[in-house]
Formats: sequence, structure tokens, C-alpha cells
Amino acid sequence: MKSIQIFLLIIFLSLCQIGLMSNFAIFGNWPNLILIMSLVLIFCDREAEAFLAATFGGLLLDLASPMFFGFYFISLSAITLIVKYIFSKFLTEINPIIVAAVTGVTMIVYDLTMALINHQFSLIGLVSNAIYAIVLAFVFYYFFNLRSSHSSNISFSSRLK
Amino acid sequence: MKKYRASLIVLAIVAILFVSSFFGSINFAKNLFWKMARPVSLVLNGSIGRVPTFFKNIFYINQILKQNHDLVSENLNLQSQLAKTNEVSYENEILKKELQFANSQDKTNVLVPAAIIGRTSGYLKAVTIDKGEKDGLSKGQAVISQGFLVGLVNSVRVDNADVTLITDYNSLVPAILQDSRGTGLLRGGLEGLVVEDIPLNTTISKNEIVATSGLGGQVPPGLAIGKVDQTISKPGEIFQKITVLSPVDFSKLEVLFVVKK
Repeated sequence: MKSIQIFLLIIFLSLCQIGLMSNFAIFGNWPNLILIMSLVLIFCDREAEAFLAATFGGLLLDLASPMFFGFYFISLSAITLIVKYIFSKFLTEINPIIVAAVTGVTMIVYDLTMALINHQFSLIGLVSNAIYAIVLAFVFYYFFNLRSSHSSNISFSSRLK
Repeated sequence: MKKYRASLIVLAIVAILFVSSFFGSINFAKNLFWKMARPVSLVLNGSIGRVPTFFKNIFYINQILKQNHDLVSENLNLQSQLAKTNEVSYENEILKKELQFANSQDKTNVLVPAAIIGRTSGYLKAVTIDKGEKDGLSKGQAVISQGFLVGLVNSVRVDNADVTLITDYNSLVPAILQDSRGTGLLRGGLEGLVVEDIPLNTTISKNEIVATSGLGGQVPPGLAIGKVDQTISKPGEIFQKITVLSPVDFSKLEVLFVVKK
């Protein structure tokens, strides 16, 4: 995928995050699309694009957010770096269980941070958000793999062992 | 290194904006961002955003019919009350004229309608509206929906502003219980809407109206917040604490009104 396409996708997802996702909230919560995109790009072995999504997406969310400037940038970049490190050290292959587990755990950690900062904790909200994020991660994973298979003839089934 | 060039450029931009945020100049960038994002946000909200509501409405059709029936009877009841109130108001005006009562101050508030153009996260009890300094908004002004207080203007830019909802833990609004006249501070948080610091000698009754007290000056007095639900303070505490039920669904806010004094 060309850089310009990645940039446009990040802008589109940021706009969906701030303007649309509140309508699709479950228990008053919705997952961070930029975070899911960064995770999925790591699953697809595209670290540079994942880091770009975290930094540029974080910048856009910071511009939209009433929180202190830099919160989304720092948190998304840090999570992306940590997940990338875990993948390079401990995980060698991608399968649906790993995609679900990494997305779910990352989303819970991220949500707990948000809950602590904003004094808003709901266990059901936390769990439902993690499940919501896993579903979206699979959708994104299929999308990125379809794009990859178009450009390099690598099929989704060959990657998703 | 070449692979990460775009990320490094973004990093440099963030560093510049981060430093400028300490001097307040970040508002210019935020205003510009929202100015560009506003049309897209409104279109997304007005099109794809309506889909879940449509399906929810079908799913809850029985509940909606019952609610509609209740609202029609409540509306009729309120209409009769309004007729009586209008009569009293008219009588009051006549008596004021008779007594040559000076109407020293204009107590009417100006309402500025504003559309919600953004919400970044469900954890942030804040929304961004499409009205700003240009429309006369300033920090601390009350924001209402369906006649009930829903938030306060937090930061204002030229064309848009951030509103902190009253369900946020950091929002504090001076409130008064209309029957018992007990005063306290309204804040959001894990327990929902809570009024704290009510004196112990106040006798609180369930379903009593909670409104803004007007203390502090920015928020006008008498704006309805909700009804008393229950007392949650423990016997040994030196102040009383109550939970408040607001009829407003804070997750479905669409159009808000900023109250300009």
C-alpha cells in the first residue's frame, strides 16, 4: 500500500473515530480504530506503516481531543512499540488466536489507562470493548491481507496458518 | 531509517505542537482541524450514524410505544399546569405594575444552538460543538439539552468549543435542591451524577428537583439538572451525598444549547 493511501486511511479512520463511532457505542464505549489499525499492521509484518498509523493517527486524535496534547500520540506509539517488541521476541507465527489475544489484551490495558485517567470504570464496558476490538481487528486483518494479496499475490490463507 | 521517514516527520510536528501547547497556540491548530473535520463529521453522523438508531428503534418498538403513551399524558398534564402558571404570571405582572416594582435587570438568557461534531472516546465525558468565540461563547457557560443542564463550556476556540459533560468526574457545578433548599456540589463519576456537601440539617426527599444554584456567577440559577434518586452518604459523615437521575441520555446527545447570560 502506498504511503498516500495509508495517510488517507488514517485520516478516514480518525474522522470515523471522532465523528461516527459514538453512534456505534456498546455500553457507552467504542474501541480506538487507530490502535486497532496499528496492531493489525504489526500482525501483517508492516512495522513502519504501523508506527506511522500510531504517530499520525495519535496526532490527529490529539488535535480532536480535549485531553492534554500528546496523550494519544504517546500512548499509541508506546503500545505499538511494545507490541512490536513482543512480536519480534516471543511470537513467530500469526494465527487467529494470537490476533484475538493480543488485540483483546492491548485494548483492556489501553481502556484501563483511560478509565484510571477519567475515573470511569465499568467491567462490562471493558470486556465488551475488548470483544468489539477483536471483531474489528479481524475485519481490518482481512482488509489489509486482501490489499497485500492484490499487490504481492500473498493470500490471506497462507499467512493465517 | 528511510522506512520510518514519514513517522519521524510526524514526530517533529508533534514535538513543535507539544511545545506550542504550553503557550496556548495549540488552539489555532485545533480550531483549524475541527473546521476541516466539521462537515465530514456532520455528514457521517447524519447518514451512517443514523443506522444503529433505526435498528434500535425497531428492537425497542414496544418500549417506545409505551413511552409515547406516557409522554402524551404527561404533556396534557403539563399543558394544564402551564395554563395555570400563565395565569399566575399574568397576575404577577399586574401586581408588579400596581406596586410600581422596578424591573431592574433583564433575566432572560440567550440560547445558542450548537451541533455536536465530535467525541474521541467513551471514557472522555466531553464533546466538541460547532460554535465558538465567534458566536459569543466563553469558558464556564452552561450547556443544556431538552431543558436540562448537560455540561459546561470548557475550552473555546474561534469556531468551535469543547464541552465537559456533568457526568465527568472533574466537572463541578453548584446545585440546589428545590424543595428542601439544600445546596451542594454536583459532579459525575463512578456512582453517576452525585451532589456532595449538602448540610446535615437538610431534609431531602426522593424525586425532589435538583437545579443549578447560580453560585459562582457563570451558570444561571434555576437550570434543571434532574431528580433526587437516593441518599448515599453514611451515618457518620458530616455532609450528605445524594445521587441524581437526569432524564437526558448522555450517549445520545445531538443538538445542544449554550446559555449566554
